[in-house]
Amino acid sequence: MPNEENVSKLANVWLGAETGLLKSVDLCKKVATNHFEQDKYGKEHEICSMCWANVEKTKLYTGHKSGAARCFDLSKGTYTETHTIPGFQSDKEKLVGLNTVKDSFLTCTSKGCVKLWSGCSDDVTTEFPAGDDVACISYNEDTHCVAAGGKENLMKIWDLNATEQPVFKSKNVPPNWLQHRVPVWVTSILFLPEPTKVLTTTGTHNVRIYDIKSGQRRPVLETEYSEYPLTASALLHSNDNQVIVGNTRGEMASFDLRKMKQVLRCYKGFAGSIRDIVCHKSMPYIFSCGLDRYLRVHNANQPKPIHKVYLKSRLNCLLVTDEDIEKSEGDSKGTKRRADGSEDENEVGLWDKMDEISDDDSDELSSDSGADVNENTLTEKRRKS
Amino acid sequence: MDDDQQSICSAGVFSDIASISELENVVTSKDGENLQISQNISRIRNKQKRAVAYIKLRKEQRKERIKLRRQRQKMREELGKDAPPILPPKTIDNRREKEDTIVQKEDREVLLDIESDEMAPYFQRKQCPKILLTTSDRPRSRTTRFLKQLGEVLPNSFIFYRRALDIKKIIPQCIAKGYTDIAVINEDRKNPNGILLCHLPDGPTAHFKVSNVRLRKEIKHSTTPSEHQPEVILNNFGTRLGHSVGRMLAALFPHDPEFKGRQVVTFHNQRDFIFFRHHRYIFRNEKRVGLQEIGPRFTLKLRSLQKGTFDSKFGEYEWIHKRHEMDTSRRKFHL
Repeated sequence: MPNEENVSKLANVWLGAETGLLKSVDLCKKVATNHFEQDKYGKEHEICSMCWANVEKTKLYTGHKSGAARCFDLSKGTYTETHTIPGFQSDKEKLVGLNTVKDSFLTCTSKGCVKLWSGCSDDVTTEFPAGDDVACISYNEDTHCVAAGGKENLMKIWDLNATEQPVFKSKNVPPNWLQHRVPVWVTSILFLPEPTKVLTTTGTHNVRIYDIKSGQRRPVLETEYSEYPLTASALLHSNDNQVIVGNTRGEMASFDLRKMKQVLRCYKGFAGSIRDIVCHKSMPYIFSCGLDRYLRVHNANQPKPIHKVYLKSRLNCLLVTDEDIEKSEGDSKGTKRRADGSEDENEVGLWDKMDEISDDDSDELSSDSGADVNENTLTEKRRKS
Repeated sequence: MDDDQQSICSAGVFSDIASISELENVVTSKDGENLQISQNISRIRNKQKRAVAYIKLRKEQRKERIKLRRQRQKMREELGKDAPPILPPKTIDNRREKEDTIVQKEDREVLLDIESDEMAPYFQRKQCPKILLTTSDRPRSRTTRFLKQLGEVLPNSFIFYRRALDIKKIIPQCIAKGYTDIAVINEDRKNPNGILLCHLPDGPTAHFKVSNVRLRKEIKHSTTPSEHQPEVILNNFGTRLGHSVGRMLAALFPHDPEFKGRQVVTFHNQRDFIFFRHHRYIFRNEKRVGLQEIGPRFTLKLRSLQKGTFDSKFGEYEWIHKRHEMDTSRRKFHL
């Protein structure tokens, strides 16, 4: 593996594959690299979930099918530690969740065994059951809470400081118009920026929002998308009111949380089921991966993908660094790519520059600089007036 | 081992969306004049005038083409032996759009993926195929005849009447009885039009459209098959998806063909259509081979490939043919 150090430092996206390989993708330089330990790859070591190990995003944890959570150091480009879940039976249960909790992490198996680990040592500090058939787990930093749910397992929220009783137990929606019970099948959970609100997606293609504060255990908002099980969801960080959901047939759409009844935008280009969606922290980029072995990057405002990378194995999960995906300025490639459609970055840069311009010297500046800036200053002038 | 690591290191292929759009720009600027004229024509509002202008444009284009061809002919005559070789004709197949997922032979990662997939026990010779053949409910005579003939092609296959059973209920019973595949033929207006192929016990499930079915009687000079195990030919399954489908189809036939029977089954993929043919051959002399078609003859087209056994409602799809999104170019193929 030549100059791996550089590769892992510059990578934009980290992906976990079904073949047990950890993949890093640098979208600026168009380099994709596999990271693996000798004899520790193959389908029995499938990566099921991933999370960052610290806030600086210099380390990450990968959760394997074999019941191991391993720490990967980005700067060294190697795996450093391995934690194995005691009593894990890989043929009977799956590792469904792996989340960072301050300095440590928590794991959750499909049998509902939630364990909070104490950092680098192999000790488990907290352990509590979350019911049968857990499909997903989510952690909220602000309230130090964990939410979990699954098939015939209603979404519950626990406070990690007192895990005996859940803080919030959701209630199933009322029977449908045929008086049939609606099956419970939570597939993903998201804590919304407003910490009392939780969003879930279901296998019965519903998007539901629960509000802990409201005193109501049933969802306060509910909508439907398409006719197939929803598999992944993500919050668009650049616009807090938008949520992205994806389903098993490769359909992805965004919703406005204030106007849930209608789809805001559909995203195209998928061939198979979507397994994970992650959004960039500050830019309007949506990263998604799934069974069709492609990593796709969408701009939130365009239906077509701006990047598409074939990564040879089925992809289960992904993590995104804070780096800008179009950062390589100076070289010709960077400018070329900027020209082809993603004007947002361009625009943002321009608006930043324009803050310095006052009304008095705008004429002077516009005579110096290029045509685009000229136009923009004019528009700003109009806005100010 | 170093080499292995190197090949496993090249982890992905980038679809250069940017460069494609650039290429298109270049093309448009190249024949910009023609484009301008044609644009002008579409702006003419009078239909008659527009039609006349269009015919004129086509005439001019044709003249230009003939002129160029003459020039080339002349040059070739002048140069004689030194003339540049005639270029191969442009076909849809040889101008196929670049596909990222074409499997390279030495690609260790894809090999790792393939060798541990659901069909691996068959290819490791741990499993012998045993196939259940059935139809949709209440099949008409043409479909039953097709089913019967397909049963004669596939060794170790068993035909069952559907009896209005759900496929999801058949699957656990089949797994218990050691079947490796289920094939369900669907019909529409008395004609077979679809086939669902489900590999057991863990999938995958492929759904094909079936067209141009010719039964044995409808093929000229056709003959009857013998009970020998046939040889199998799989052509042009080059992409990653093609490999998955090709392996599924290969896993329907037992290993070790009986060459005495001189029977051969062909799955030939061309432009995403998989042509099925069943022949008997004979070597007439060292150069010539005689072929006799046994039949049936039909064409398959992949509609979807789903992970796991049949579950069209809650199953996860690995690939679905989305016509409006995928069929953007005539030169783009998936298999």
